[in-house]
Amino acid sequence: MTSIQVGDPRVAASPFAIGDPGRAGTELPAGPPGVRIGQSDVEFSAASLPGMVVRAVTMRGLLHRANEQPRQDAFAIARHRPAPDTPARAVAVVCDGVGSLGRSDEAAVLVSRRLAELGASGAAWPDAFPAVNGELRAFAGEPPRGDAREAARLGMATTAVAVAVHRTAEEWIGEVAWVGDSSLWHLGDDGRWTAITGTAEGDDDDFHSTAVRPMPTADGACAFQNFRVPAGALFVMSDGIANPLKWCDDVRTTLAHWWERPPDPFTFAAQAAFARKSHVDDRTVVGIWPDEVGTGAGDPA
Amino acid sequence: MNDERISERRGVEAGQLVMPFYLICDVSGSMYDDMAALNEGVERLRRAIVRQPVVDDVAQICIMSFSDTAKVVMPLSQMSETSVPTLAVEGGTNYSSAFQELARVIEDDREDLKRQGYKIYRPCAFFLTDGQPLDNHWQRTFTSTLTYDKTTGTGMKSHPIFVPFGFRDAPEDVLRKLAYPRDRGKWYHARNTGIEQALAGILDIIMNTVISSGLSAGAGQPTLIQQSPAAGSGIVQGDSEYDDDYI
Repeated sequence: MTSIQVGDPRVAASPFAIGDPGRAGTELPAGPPGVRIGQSDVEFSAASLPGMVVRAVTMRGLLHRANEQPRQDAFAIARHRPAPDTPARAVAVVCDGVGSLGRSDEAAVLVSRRLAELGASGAAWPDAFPAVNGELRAFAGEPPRGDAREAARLGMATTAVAVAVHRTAEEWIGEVAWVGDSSLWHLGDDGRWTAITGTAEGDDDDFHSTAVRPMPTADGACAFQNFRVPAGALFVMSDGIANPLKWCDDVRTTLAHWWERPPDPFTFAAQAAFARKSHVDDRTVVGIWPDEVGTGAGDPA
Repeated sequence: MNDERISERRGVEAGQLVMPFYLICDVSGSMYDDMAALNEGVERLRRAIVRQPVVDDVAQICIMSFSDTAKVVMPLSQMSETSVPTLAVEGGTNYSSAFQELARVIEDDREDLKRQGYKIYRPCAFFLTDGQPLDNHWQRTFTSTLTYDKTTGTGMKSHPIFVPFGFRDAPEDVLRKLAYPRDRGKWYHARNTGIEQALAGILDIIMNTVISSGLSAGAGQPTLIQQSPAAGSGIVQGDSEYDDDYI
């Protein structure tokens, strides 16, 4: 490998960093085009709904870039329009494909889009998850028996967290459901981050470890809860960004500062890709802020 | 640093993921003619890690030597931020001293890293030896210092994944008993091959294990990926035969 220096135009990492960016964040070259032809390294979207402003981004982590593997995270956003006199709701789904299985990127795309479609149609999450779990199981097919390497190459699985929420003058009111360790966070007006979903880890006292129960599951069940939180903003995340947020004071402080108000979508994408040493997983985050200017510019409500 | 880079640096690096590896090298008298090959192999390992920034950011390496006694010759470090010392030949082949020092160093490193807020993966120890143990109680020492009994809660809870590599006079039946734990540890033995080739093959396995494991960290499912010997290397690999009931 040719030596790469800081600032080299071959490096494709975000210009944003929190703390030590690590050598990967400053030296890793962009590398060859992705192995999934047509899949981009970064996808992002912006939306405005009555009382809400939405930013969403998913990106290939530096680790997948180094390994010449595809991005395995995905998001989908949608709008649920219930009865005429009730407020429109934002629907946001984030999925994180299981890295050890070769087709998990397909699982993440399928599950995020189907859950968002069902959320947009008004389906309750405890009904939507089993339905999509069944679709994923059918799509994945039966793994080959007796050949672990081939089963891993052809296998697929993903976490999922799905949110449907609307904004009143005072608070966020919504429902969230999840399978695995993707999560929903609230950023308060005081700059404090609070996990709305569980963020349990497999760590014991001695060492860090990870264990998730992804989709497809045996029964299609999901964790579910209603929530009401005041003011602030909501963020739906994969663990690529939730982990540094959980573990690092300076990440919490910096993201609270950057995302106190909705950045423009291009800046939001670059900020979510902040470099930090050893945190090189794919990242996906959907931010939902109150619309403090109007009622969702351009939206017919 | 690129002038255009937008950094928020507050001097705290808590939450960094660390994958520790310990390389314990036999420097007994019988290694006299092989030290150049050993040092070259270790330097090659360093260069391979430094070439991979993603691996270099997460893997930290400690190099120890043992003969009659054991010592740390390079503390747990990021390879790009240190130079590898030259190993020199010493005395006998006392496994127990190596096991005891390794257990002490792993505990100290773990406490130090946790105090600084790092997230640590379970360490992996590569044990290179060319001879049979001269201490009679090596097996008892290994069990009491580097293993953990889940049923009784006794022993070293923060034990490493112990991967022994043997060549020349190292007995295969000893290597089989040192691979730990039973469900994850593997042993490697260089049979019927020249010492230089054996050392090169062994250090290639270690290098590939560190690189592939480092490339799995940070993506949610880190794994110690113990590599198979290259075809024609003369090195064989096997699963642990550690005896849980040994006292």
